[in-house]
Amino acid sequence: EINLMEELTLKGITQYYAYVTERQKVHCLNTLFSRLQINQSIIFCNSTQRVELLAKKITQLGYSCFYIHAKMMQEYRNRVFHDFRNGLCRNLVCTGRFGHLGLAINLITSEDRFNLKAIEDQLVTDIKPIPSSIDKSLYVAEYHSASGDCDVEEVEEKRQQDST
Amino acid sequence: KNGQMKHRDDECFGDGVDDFLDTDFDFEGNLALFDKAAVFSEIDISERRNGARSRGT
Repeated sequence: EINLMEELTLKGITQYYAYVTERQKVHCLNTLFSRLQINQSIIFCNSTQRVELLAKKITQLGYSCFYIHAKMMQEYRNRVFHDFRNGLCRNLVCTGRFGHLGLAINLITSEDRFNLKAIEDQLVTDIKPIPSSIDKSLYVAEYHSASGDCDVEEVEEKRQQDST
Repeated sequence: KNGQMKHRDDECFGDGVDDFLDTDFDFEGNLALFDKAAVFSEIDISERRNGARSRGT
């Protein structure tokens, strides 16, 4: 049996990983924001608590940020996502995962090594280390080769355990 | 489990994480600390030895 959804969610997404500690994640993210100069990003976290903490931190860093998590009313979540799609905000922090065209950077800690391997095995893909030149060249190739609005960065924070 | 999560949140968002924001994060230096092929090989060996239950624990 072929699961087309997994294929669909991976197509058009270029995946890299960066190796970090918990204490380095904010620094790493801030550097990605400044170096990539991406129009919009979606950042995935594994807990509602962390979604709120990260959204607050991103706002403190001077970037506009919305957030969505499972404890919010569905109607409100829809509204936030609608506003994000319409460009009212540049960054969205949320739980859960969904794929679309763009660049995905996984922030991997030592504890995430099992998850990283499981994802590679399940999706039969190779997530490569982020290249040394971190700039628009990481995603302009995808932008020009795709037809849609893929000027979107996904930064995914992997955790060993799901808290929800 | 919740205590572990809180500890990680404290590490991630606690005092001092903003100290180096004026400089670029050292992606290459950190990547050098993680030999993915070797780590994955170790996981494979460990799983063969202990069975699938060892994953993620």
